[in-house]
Amino acid sequence: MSVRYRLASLTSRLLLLAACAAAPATLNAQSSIFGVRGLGLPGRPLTAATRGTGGAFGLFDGESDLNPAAMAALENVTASFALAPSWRKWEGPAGSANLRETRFPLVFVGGPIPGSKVGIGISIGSYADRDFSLTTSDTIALRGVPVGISDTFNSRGGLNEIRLAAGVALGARTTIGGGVYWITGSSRVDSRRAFSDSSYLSIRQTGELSYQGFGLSAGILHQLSPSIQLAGLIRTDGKATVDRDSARAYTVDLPWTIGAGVRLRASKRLSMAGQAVYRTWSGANSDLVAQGGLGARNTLELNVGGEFTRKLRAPYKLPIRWGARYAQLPFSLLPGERAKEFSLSAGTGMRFAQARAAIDLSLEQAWRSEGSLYKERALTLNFGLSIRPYGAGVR
Amino acid sequence: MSKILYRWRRIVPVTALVVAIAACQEKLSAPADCPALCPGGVQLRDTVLAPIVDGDTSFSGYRTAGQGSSLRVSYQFAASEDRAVIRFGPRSDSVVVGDTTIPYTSLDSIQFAFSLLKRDTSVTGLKIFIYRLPPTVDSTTTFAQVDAAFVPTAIVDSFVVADTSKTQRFSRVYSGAGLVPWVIQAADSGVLALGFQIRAVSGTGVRIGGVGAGSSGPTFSNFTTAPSDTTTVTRVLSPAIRFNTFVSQGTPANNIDELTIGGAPSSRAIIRFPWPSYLRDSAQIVRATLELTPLAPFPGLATDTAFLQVRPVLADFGSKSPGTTDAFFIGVGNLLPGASDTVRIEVRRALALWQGANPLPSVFILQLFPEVSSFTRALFGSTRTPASQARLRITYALPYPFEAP
Repeated sequence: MSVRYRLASLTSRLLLLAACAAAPATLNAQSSIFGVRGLGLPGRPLTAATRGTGGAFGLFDGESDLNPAAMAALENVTASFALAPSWRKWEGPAGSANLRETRFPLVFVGGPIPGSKVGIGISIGSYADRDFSLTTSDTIALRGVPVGISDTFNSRGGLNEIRLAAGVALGARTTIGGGVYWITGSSRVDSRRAFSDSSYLSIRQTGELSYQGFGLSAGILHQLSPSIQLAGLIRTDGKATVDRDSARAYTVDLPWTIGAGVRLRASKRLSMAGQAVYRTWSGANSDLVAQGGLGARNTLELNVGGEFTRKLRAPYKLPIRWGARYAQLPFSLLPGERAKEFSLSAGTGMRFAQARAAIDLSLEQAWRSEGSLYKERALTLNFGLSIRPYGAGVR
Repeated sequence: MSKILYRWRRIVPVTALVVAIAACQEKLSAPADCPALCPGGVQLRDTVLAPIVDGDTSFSGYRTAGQGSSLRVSYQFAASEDRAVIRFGPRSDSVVVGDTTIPYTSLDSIQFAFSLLKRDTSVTGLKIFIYRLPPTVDSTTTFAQVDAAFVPTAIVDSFVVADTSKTQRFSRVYSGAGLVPWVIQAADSGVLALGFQIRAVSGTGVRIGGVGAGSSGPTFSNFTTAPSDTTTVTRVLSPAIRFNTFVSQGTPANNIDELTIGGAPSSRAIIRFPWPSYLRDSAQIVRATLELTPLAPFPGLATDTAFLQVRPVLADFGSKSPGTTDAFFIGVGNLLPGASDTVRIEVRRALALWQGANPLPSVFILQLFPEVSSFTRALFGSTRTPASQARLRITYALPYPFEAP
């Protein structure tokens, strides 16, 4: 089989898979009340396997939507998607609620170009999530008379990123990569108010906010020694335009992202990784404040985790993954406060059908808080399904 | 084959678990301490619009007495002194049996019926008198002429109204000597005209059904017999009402500085409001109230509440502006007799017609219901009396600032 034929075949399959992967109109990582402000809760377009390590292997994972250099390490043509049902408990001054939702944080199609050291891929991931519903009751004075009101504010949608990325191996120890992002998406919002006095007409207003921006990223992986690999990432997302019902509302600066990570192969069975990612969300501060928002702050995300291979002959058979994550959230709920998140995760996975398909599962418990008033606990089951139509060993 | 089955035994449960989890119904509603937490927030505004100066006025003559559903009759009543008059059409002097017209020579009996529609039960001893009037009564007949005809010798009959009775249909049959008061002289060409008068322990008024009241209107039935081939047949002659009205002792003239609504002939008021673009284009009106300040307590019959209808006009043609007939958009308020408080009428639905790309004129036409039937005649302030002019109070929501982050 000629290289040209295989390249054409790969291209057609990639296009087909990309078309299938693009079917879901919106991809959201996880909903949270902490996504009410600003652009929402920042997304985490990672594979279920990486989520199982607390995101610590994100910079080394070619299927995750983070470091384009890791694309060069893809061994097989792969299509994958992640499914993440969550169960949350929200506590605030107005009360508490048990919430649940299911989201699809990542769809990925990519693989190596046969006969080359290049890996390419396209992915659709969550950039920021704006799924929430807020309800409140109060009494206000209308025409000098107290009137009971019930408000509901709903938002569905958010920002997604479509990434086209490629990585290339520069020798045996270093790979570099670059990616371009199209940041797009919309959130459909509606506000309702009902009055206890039937003389007042219930209010319902709807709108659609659409977002668009472009970003670039560059990354590097370097095998420092047989047991230590380093990763670096820099990314800029430029500006995003925000339209309300097709009319320009404002533009907002999106952050620069700088990330670094290290992967340590402690033994044949045990790998450990840690990474730090810094995002300059404060660039959006003035834009958001100008629109009446509370602004934004830079964020730091720290991840640490590991993977233990139970069987060396079958490394993909039920490995044990674990990790921890700490992250600051860019958009606070109240002025002067800082929202943050801490999570613990564990997971495993397996391949079957002659390694043509794989399932990864991880469980993540997150604690989010802002001051002492707002707290949220979230249990998320990350389910990843990947298909490798050529099986192993194409490269 | 066994390997495939083994694999599927492992895959299917996991897949089923995932599908089951994914199928969980979403629940995203959380309590929030808004507006602190909610972005944007509902913004309500309250504004009061005054009518366009001299854009409000009253017009009279839309309907005249007798064109309503009932006829006013009163006695020493402060609201109005009225006498009701009805005239039936000519009674035929023959009957038809088969295809033959046969003159009849006598009547066997007569039945007369009418309905009392409204009365004040706090005034006892109510008695309704029926008077015979000249058959020439018409719209030119005055109160003085009618009142002069109400002499004891002209009384046809009288009906005592039970003190507890609020409404009642009176029906009485006359025969033999009882037919004498009902005899229609040949010079009258078969036309019967009657007048209504009341008496009670104190001044009061009543409303009786007129021709517009349908089955509650007066009826005049004449029973006679005529020979047939081998026997006699009964025939009933029921002349229809050709004219009915009530005449009033004094008909107050409208004051140009006031908005007059009601009375007989009926008056209606037109009020024009300025309509700013922010209300027309982008506001969501949640409540709109038309406030009218009475210049005097509403006259009227106790227990007989009149209603004030506020209609948006379809086009502004001044006094001939057609108001909408769609009840959904008509605001209605009560005019309680004796009340002098500000009248507030909800008109939010009507104001919806003033919004959008093709709005109706921002004009209301106000009229009484029932018109030319009730004793109520309301006087409200106008822009010529600024302290008591009409006001349109609007509570509206601004467009939600969804873009607020």
